[in-house]
Amino acid sequence: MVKSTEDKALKMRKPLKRRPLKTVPMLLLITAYQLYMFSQLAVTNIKALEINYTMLIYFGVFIVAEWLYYIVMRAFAKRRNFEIELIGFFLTGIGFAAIGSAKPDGLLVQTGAFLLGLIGFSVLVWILGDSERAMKLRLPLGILALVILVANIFLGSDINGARNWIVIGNAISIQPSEFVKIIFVFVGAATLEKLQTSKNLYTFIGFSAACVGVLFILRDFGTAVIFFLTFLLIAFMRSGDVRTIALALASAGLGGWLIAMFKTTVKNRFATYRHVWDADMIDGKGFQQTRVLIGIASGGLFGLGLGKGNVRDVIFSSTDLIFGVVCEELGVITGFAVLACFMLFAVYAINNAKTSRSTFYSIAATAAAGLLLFQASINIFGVTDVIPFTGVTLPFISRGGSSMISCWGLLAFIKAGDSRTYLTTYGELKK
Amino acid sequence: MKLLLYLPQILLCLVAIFIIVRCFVSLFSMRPAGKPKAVLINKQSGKKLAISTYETSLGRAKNSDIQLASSLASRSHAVISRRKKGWFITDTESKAGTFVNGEQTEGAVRLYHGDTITIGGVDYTFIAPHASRDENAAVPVSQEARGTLINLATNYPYQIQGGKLTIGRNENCDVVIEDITVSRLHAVVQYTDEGWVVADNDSKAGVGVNGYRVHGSEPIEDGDKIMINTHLFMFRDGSGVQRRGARG
Repeated sequence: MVKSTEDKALKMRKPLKRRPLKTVPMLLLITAYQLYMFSQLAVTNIKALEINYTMLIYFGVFIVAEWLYYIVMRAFAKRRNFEIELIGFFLTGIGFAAIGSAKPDGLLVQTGAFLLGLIGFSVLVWILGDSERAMKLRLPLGILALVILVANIFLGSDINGARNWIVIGNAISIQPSEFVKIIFVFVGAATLEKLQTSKNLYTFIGFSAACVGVLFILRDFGTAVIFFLTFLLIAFMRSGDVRTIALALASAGLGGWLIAMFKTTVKNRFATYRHVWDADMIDGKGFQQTRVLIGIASGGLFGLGLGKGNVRDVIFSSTDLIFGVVCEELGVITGFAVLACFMLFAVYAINNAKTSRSTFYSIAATAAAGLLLFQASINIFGVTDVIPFTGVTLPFISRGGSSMISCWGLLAFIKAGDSRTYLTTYGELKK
Repeated sequence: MKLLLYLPQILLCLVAIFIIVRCFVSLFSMRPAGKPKAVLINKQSGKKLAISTYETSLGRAKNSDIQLASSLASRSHAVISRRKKGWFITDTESKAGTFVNGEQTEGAVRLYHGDTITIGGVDYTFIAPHASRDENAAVPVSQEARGTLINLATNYPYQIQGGKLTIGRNENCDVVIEDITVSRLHAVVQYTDEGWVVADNDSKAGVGVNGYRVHGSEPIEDGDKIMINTHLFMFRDGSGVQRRGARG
């Protein structure tokens, strides 16, 4: 009897060692990691102590913002768990380093967008704290999303073949479809009682069809595919009906085939696909993919070091081809680590669905994580010629203000899915 | 020499992997904090059904969180949800309707401790001591709450009186453990607004519940194993609430 109790005690002792993540040491490690990367770029000549002070300011603001966020949330919001934000900081830091190497001028916008993204993230986490409040916002936000997208048809400017940009005063250009991603997840999620009273998906199908339709008109095919895949994920989570999903997939497949046949841009991309190494493609339409593949190979497992790669000289290296820059300069291991983050976010969101405070959070977290994973996959597999290449950004890493704000907005849904986030809201932790 | 040049790059990759692994391991392994606590008591049979999730579906369907036996109940009959303001019940377009204290519900209706919910002709009493109708009223449950902590090494049962039991090395504790690795006041088992919890009193060795370390306080249920360093106890809830998933 005594022995068996001792055995139990020994078995029980092991999991006790599984301590929670201590935020301060981890944030210090992330800061050290970022400082090392940034120093490679900011210190241009170590012997002559030549320092790029402009770059130093951007990196400094970024690191200070990370710590400020932690201190404010710890002190005022009584938050105790920061794993999701830490991963966000880690990814954004890699993005800053890659942009600093490929297009240093882009760091100003990136820093501003990061600050706005972090503020947006905090506000969204607060809004999501009350699922009732979030449910009330779905209709106005859904209408707003459609208005934004339709306005884009008339006010949008053609940049890189897609009419998905709104340029304000020749200085600021924003991509409204990036913000609609957040609203799309918001509208798709619902509480359990709402799901049980209105089981049909027609309203959401109509909303999704309108969003995807407008994106096709705007010729933003990459984002349209991401929206469609996220729609399938949300539809399955809401209904659990495989037949609906199969029907949607079949009709989308047919529609996609028709578009690929008749739309010149898409047709060209399919023509390049799996032929980038052909003699007539290698320095032509397949130039970007071949340079990324060469860059990944030359970077090897550990990379050449920041600022020493060749992919950064290729056009769109700081946006669509940023994965090539990361792999070449920081190594394939870091590249895979970035991809692993998106995969693990998706696994975590699915895993966490049962313990969320509401079905609203479960659906929203899974949809947001799924959207980030789809986007990352389309970018990474596109530039490596695994799938046809289309211009979408790599979440948190690529240069782009709208994209950065959108990514932090989506991260808020994953944060809200963690039941530990709202301890004070539900009175489980005294303020 | 070449390896030395590569060393910072190798280190950078290893640090990246460590950061990701450590953050995700923490995310995946941490137990979700806090569980809502309420109980439905079938007035006819006296059976108690625990509500321990934030949204609980009631109905005849097999996938309902609480499966109802009454043939008058719809497959998906109602949803009880714990919101920021309190507990609510929403009829999910059932045929027979849902009644709270004899009145048919429309939309979300707030539930209070002691309310009678009628679903499919069966009456249930809603028990959630922290959801008192008079929010200023003192909740006397902690005095009535009964429970036992059994030392699994000796099988000695410690009765929890007044809704609170202290554990530690100090002789004033209700459960005294003469072990230098145990803190003077190591942990407290008590009945709170959210039900039974075990709280770690910033002890050096820590407190575990079913093998997981407690951070601050952790809700506990009947049959949970509480570990004070190497000393193992089992908690028995005197109210005898059934676990989730039971048939109503």
